[in-house]
Amino acid sequence: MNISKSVMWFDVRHILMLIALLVNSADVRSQSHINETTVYNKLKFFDWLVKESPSAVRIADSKDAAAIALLDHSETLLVSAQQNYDAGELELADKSLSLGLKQMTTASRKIKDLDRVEAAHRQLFEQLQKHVKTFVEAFDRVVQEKGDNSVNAMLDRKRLNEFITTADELFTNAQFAEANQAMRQASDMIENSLRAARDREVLLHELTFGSLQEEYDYERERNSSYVLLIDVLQDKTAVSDASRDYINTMLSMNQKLQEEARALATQGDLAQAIHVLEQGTDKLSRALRVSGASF
Amino acid sequence: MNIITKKYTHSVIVALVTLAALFSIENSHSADPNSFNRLLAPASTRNPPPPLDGIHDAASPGAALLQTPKAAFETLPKGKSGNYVDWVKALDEKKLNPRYDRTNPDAVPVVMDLNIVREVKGSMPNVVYPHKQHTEWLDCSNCHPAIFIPQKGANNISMASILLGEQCGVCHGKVAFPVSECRRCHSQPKTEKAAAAVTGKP
Repeated sequence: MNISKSVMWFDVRHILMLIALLVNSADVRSQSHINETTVYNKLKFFDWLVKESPSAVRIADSKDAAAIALLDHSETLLVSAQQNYDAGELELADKSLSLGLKQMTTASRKIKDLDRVEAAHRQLFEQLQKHVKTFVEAFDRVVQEKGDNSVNAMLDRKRLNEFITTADELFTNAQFAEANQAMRQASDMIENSLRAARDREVLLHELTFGSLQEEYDYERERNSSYVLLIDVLQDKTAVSDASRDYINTMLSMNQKLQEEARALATQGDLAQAIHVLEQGTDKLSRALRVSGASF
Repeated sequence: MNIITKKYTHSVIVALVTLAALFSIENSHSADPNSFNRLLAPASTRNPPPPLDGIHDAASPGAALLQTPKAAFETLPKGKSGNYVDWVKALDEKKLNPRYDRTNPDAVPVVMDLNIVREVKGSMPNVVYPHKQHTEWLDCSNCHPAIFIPQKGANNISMASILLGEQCGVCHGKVAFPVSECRRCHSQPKTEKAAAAVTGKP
């Protein structure tokens, strides 16, 4: 009996101690996020939200008395938060701001931003429409390239057109969500057909130049991109002083060759200009490797 | 009693991590706001915990409660740069199970198995663009037609524009491996004959 009493007493003391610690740690938690920067940022945001934001304008312009009352109350809370912040009462300021933010959210939800919702739907519809059009064109090119009826059969064009027509009709009737759903079905359909038509293929994009000018422009771009890449790598990877000297030597050699190539191109000798620029790019390749790029 | 002890332990942990978060405020405020975009960041600063990453609000106690990238990436295959995870390999090895649709958990991706090989000049290997590895993560509309027109010859791709954050650079160097990993894209070695055909030189 005595033992159980002492065990009980130990438990009560223990529990009291734990409660004290819990309260203490809860205090730490409640105060931890109250710092001046946080409250200041919140205050700045709330000031904009109540006075200038599109939500505030929308609520003020509405005929919803309850929403307008919430906006008015938010303005009062803003004044009170500012006063408390100025007086160094950060916790009180934070309380007003939190309540105000909740009230503005409630008010904003009451007055739906229909213009924005509609604009988002319209934008999505346009994107999907463009996506479908581009992919149908791509599919047609594959069919033409392969000249194979079995490829053409991979797309049920009748069904695809039905989706597109339905989507267009729904969009005209301002049923935007439904229109987007139909257009998305068309999009999924063409994506799947294109995937099937190109399954496990390799497409080679050959490097061919229509003229010497085209090749010179390509070489110039290649050269300048190497310079850019060396710049990025030098900024991010540690190289020895000796390597840095080598990189700088290569860069200055390239610069001279670039100037030489430019002069040759101005004189109309594009073939030689390309040759000189290639030598410059070769110097840059060495610098790139020393900078840490492996190829 | 057990429940109380559990609660007590939880509260103390919360208090400790909160304090840790508070101590880190100064550091995160002075950090480069775009530091999360620097995939070439030196090893000492990679994958910092949420309160120090410059993305999360360090003043919020919640930031310190989030799982750290280091812990989350522990079992994933290692990469050589960025956040040092080989995400493609991670997906191949089924260490990840991405959700492809926000509202439909059963949605599956439209995976396109099509490789595009682009010849390039000089000794640099040709570029192989694998649609498969990209469409396992992304929707076709993420790239087409806004970034790339799905038509041969319609896209004038250059390293300069990639480095400036256009074309492949919209993701690579920001949220995917950086362009300094040449070999991952320039992956098709040239035979001497092929190189000569492209450069026009023996």
